Amino acid sequence: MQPLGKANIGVSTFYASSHAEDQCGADGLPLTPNSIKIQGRYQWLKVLYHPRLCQHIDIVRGKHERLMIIAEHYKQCLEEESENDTYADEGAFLRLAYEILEGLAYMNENGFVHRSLSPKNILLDAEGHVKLSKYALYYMTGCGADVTFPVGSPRYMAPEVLMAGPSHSSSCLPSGPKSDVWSLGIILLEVALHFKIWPNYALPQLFAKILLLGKYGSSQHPLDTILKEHSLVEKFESLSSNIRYLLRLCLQPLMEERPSAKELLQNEIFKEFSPSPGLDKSTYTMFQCQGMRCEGLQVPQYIEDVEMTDDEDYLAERSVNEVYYLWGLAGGDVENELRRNGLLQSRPPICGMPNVVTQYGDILGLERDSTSLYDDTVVMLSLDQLRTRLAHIPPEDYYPLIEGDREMQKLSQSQSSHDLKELSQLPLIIREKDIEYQLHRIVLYDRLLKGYPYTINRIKLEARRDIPPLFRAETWAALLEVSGDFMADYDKIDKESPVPIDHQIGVDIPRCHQYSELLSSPVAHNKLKRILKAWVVSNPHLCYWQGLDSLCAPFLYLNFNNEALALACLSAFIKKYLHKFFLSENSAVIEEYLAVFSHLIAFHDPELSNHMGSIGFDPKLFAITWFLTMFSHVFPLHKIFHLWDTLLIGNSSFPLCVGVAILHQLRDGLLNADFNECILLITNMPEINIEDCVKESIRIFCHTPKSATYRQHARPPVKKEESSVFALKPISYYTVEVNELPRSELSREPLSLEELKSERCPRISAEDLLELCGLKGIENSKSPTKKSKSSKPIILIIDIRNSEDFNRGHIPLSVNMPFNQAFAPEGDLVACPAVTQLNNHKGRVIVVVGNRGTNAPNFAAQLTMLGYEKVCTMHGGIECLKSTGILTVSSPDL
Amino acid sequence: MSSEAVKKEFKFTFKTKSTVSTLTVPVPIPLLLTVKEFVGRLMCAHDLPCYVEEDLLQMLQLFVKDETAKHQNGNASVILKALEGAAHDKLGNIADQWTKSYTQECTGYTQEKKVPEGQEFTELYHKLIHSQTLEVLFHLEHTYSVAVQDVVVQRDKAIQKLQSKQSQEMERAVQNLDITHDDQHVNMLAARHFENMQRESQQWEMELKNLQEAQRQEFKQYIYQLANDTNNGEEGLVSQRIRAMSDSLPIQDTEEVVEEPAMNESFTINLGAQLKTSHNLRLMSMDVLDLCRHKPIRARGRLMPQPQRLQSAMSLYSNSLSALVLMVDDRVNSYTGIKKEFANICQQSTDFHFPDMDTQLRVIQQDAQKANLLRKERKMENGSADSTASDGSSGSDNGEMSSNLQTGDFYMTRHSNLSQVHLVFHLVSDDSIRDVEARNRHPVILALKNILKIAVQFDIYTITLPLFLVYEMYEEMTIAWCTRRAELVFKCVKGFMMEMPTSGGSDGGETRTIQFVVPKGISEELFTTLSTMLPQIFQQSRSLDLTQR
Repeated sequence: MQPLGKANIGVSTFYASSHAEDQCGADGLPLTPNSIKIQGRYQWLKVLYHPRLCQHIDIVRGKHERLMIIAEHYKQCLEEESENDTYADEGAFLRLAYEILEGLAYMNENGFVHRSLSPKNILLDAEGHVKLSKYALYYMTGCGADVTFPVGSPRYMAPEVLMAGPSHSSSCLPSGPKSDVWSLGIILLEVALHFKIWPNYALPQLFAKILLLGKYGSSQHPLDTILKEHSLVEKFESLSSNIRYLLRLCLQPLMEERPSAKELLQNEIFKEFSPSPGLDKSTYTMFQCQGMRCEGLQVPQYIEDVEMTDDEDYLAERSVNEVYYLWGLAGGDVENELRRNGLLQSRPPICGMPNVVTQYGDILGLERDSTSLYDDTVVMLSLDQLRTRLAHIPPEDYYPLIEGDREMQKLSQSQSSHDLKELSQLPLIIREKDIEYQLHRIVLYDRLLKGYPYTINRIKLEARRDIPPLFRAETWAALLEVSGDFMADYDKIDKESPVPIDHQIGVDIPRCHQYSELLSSPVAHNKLKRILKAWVVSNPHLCYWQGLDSLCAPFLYLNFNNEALALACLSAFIKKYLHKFFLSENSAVIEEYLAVFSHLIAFHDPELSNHMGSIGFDPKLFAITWFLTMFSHVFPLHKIFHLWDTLLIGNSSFPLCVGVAILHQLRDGLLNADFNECILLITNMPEINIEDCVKESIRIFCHTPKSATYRQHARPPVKKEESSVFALKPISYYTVEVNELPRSELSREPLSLEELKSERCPRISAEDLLELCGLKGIENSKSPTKKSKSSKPIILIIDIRNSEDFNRGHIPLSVNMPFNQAFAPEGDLVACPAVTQLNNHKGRVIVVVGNRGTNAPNFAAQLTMLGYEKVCTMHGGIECLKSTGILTVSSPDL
Repeated sequence: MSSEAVKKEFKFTFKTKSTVSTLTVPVPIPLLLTVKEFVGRLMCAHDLPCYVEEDLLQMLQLFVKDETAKHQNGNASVILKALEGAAHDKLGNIADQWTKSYTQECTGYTQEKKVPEGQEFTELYHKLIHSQTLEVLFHLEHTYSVAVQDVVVQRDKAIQKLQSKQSQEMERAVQNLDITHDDQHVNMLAARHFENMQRESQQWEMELKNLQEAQRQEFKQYIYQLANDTNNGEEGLVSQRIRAMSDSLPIQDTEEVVEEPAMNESFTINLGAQLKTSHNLRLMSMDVLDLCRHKPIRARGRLMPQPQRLQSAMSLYSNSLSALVLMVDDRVNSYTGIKKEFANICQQSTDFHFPDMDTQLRVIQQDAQKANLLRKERKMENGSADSTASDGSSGSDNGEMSSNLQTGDFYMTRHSNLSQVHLVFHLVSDDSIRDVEARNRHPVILALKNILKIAVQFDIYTITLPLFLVYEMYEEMTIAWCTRRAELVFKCVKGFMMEMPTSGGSDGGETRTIQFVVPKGISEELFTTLSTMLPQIFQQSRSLDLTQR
């Protein structure tokens, strides 16, 4: 993205035309508002970059079909500058023409035309170079179809444009690229001869004149007609031959003879000029550009004694959309800016009411609001407030050190970044709105992402704190370890040919997160369809299940201009979190997942689990959509973003904890409800506080022994090349997958589905047990359940074998509670010293150990029924510990 | 010829060892995909060797570029051909079309920016009512309304007097029938009475109108004066004069009448699958016209503004309006029933911002005629297909278009002098709505949808409508009828609310309120039934439980 430099940011506004009455599309759904269509088309312009075009930054949709366009802007324009003698020199004149043509040629290459080229929107930057503005209005409005006003500048429109008429019907042919060349011809002619064509004519005469130029173009060259009518023939002859030649070419009436912008650029007369330099490839991240970024890289020379000047503008080094984003955080609001400049005046609604509305929706007596007319004024956003707000940020903060050892990095940090440490303790919502915090995060992430994949571990580390919204798309891609030439892969997939699932996709898309303006646009529908089809085609062993659309929506939303990356993220996400979920026969996978989910509920919230069990409210009734869409079907996008920010740094079991956390928030409602009310409550899904939910999920995750979430259908370990940056050791316990741990006879083994479903409580592996009670070596004691090296064991082991077996050998510190004596006939525990110990242990993990068989699970189930939290059993029974030699025999005296 | 895509044959020849293969594919022009993607697909579909990819890409890029240029040239040439052949008047025509689209749609080209009539006044008033002048304005309005009410009271008295006088005369005449009077006499007397009555009321009407017109003029002047007056912060002369004027009015302490609905209950609900929007719903049992009536309260010699009235005055020119749905018959006038009652309320004080009721209705009648014309045209369009059988039914309005509306149509009037309402939707209904079988395709129900749509379009944030779609009680309205009707209306309104497009942008913060009114006389039991039904149909938002954690 290009740096701000000396550019300004400008905002302009217009109304999209509203649909008459109650119209429905062919699919029976209401028509998409035109403003949303325009918004969808616009997105692509944000990534379009050419040095001769003003960068588009953002589009904002206001009330009642109003749109506001934010783009790079300059004060100076050709209209004013041409009054001076700037272009009297042939070289300067040709440079002007060349630069405009460069802009036009780039647009044509990308398949759209300007159509409203005029001296007013040919802007000049500080160095006097051309910057075209308003060049995308014709494109984004669907060739003018979605607005009521005409797109074009009367004086400069080509005869063929006028002849096509101002109507926007679909039968009317869109303007071609060569019409812009005509406009350029007229503009250059005016500049060269210092005049305005037909300055005193009213609009109808002006239009008629231009039309006549075209009508009699074959008998007399329009240029000659114009010169004669303005008696400028002699003045024209005094121009240099190159200029005369150029003008004559531009104003050719016949299409075949009028050159295109690209052809003109290659003309002899421009041979001295070379194309304007674009952005260096190394300023892009891996996700944004294909091919080698180091190509043509020139490392700038290191100059030892550069003098630091105080008035260096560090903000100008940041990219335009970063500056715009920060401007918004500094309290900027485009609607306010427009209003302050009188562009957003609207009459009070009560003054514009209609009189009669018939049952068919005909509206009568509605007056046209004169404030809705098109005004092409551009209002410049003042960056002063932003600059004062950031004035105290020291220069080093704009260039943080991310290499070198910690000490060095610390040294380079300024005072203000220490303050940020405190800021990072505040709630996420506040952090996301804090301009200083975001500036630091943006600067840091910008550098980290440019360094991806080399910086992968640092990105993962930073993501645990938070992800700046501006860089969420690429940070997610990094967390999902997207790599390789995913763009070429995407190009190769056939996304157009019909496949059987097309119909289902077509039905699902218009129902997928349509409250989002962006996702409800036709452009978005098309993109979503392409990505879904691409996924289906590229995963022949999997199939499309409803919900895939919801799953894809966040990725599309974030990577709206990068379908390939959206697909790459989606694929990586499914591989990691939804392994085998999209098999055509996925019931075993899902049932196992749900069984583990039920275990987790029982483990963390026995009361809720008991209640759900008693009314028959099975997770199967609601949780399949939760997990199949990773909650993207139940939450709005802004909540999914925060949820997935954390989900993506956790392992594949983390979603289970999120599920438990959501139930935890609904707990009170569920406990007081019967079956029907529970179903209603869950299907309507009340507002969930996502930040609390995320915190709770992390807490639950940390208090769950890792092997408790073991699933046989989880993704098998992925082999990674030793040399790959992704093969580095995971940074924490959280990110390790259960399946990626080395296997031993102490690990968990798959259970049959019946077995799994029949048990109430999770099983943990013997390994985990040893680790939890600290019987394993110190290097492995990274378990999060162990808070400190306190003397007290953090788990309680209950040995339910009969006392003889117990005395023969048991785990140290375990408590013996023989099954056959433990429970009274009513199901309560029979009081004994062991029970007291058990009650004192509330809140800690309780592991039930017995011989192989169903005794231990049954015992655990009964404990859960009694409301004991965190009850689990050890997989494999006491037998599997025999080989470890840790079993002890209690001394007979005790 | 149209801009639709055409297919062009693309040929590509390449060598593999010794064999020369040629690939021929149709390429749509203009190509909507990137050339790269197209090549990727070709490579896969035809199983081409990877070393030709680069060549293929280059060739195809060239090909597409050429063909696109040709296509575009072709398009433009077609237009130019037409231009060459076009007659001068056709060119003039086109030039006029362009001129029109510029002058009507762009600010730079309209003759001069004409400031809509009264805009200045509107802005001034809005500014003043949001300043400390608010109180002064209120005094002013009060002074005027007292004057109007004076006339209204006098009128009512005079008419009553005349009425009783006439009825006595008539009684006498009837008693003395065949003695001093004969039938003809009586008839003449009746005719004379009628004439006198009409003259009398016309005179009063005239007086009222003149008074209101004078007040309107004066009010406007005051507004301009006040605007100058208050500029320096201090209360100026004009304000003092107005205050003095209202203080000099005879003091008559009126009792504080709180017109709270007899029974009412409020709900906050959430709508939407993923993104929830919250709305306020209110169920009230009251006389709906109480939302319109307002009486300034004078307590202990001081003028007490009614809070609702103040709120309405302040939000008149804002983007948060409130409206009321009245059920009326198909004639656009104010002679009978609730229409008359409503018109009387409007007459109680001068409307300083909008034309009086009669004038508004006259304009509406014209639009109603246009609406009927449209309807007829539409019928003709549709009718041409299925013969002209339906002509008989619409035979009555053969001559000139009637200004009577049809069930399901509605018209709107604007008011600045009512208590809690800025806008009134007069929804045309008939007896069919009293039928218990009225379902969701009934025109009145569909009209509710149109009303909600208008509400979204024109920033109406509070809307009041009859839950039973009638405001009176009829004998057929049993409890079963009422619950069934309530269920229908609740469900339909919920559906319409979910369908409503968000008006976009900064809309998120504001919540809309819908008030359902049931007649005053309903039993408490029924009211409870209805108020339990509401949260079942709409999803009530979970209240925040602060005790948790």
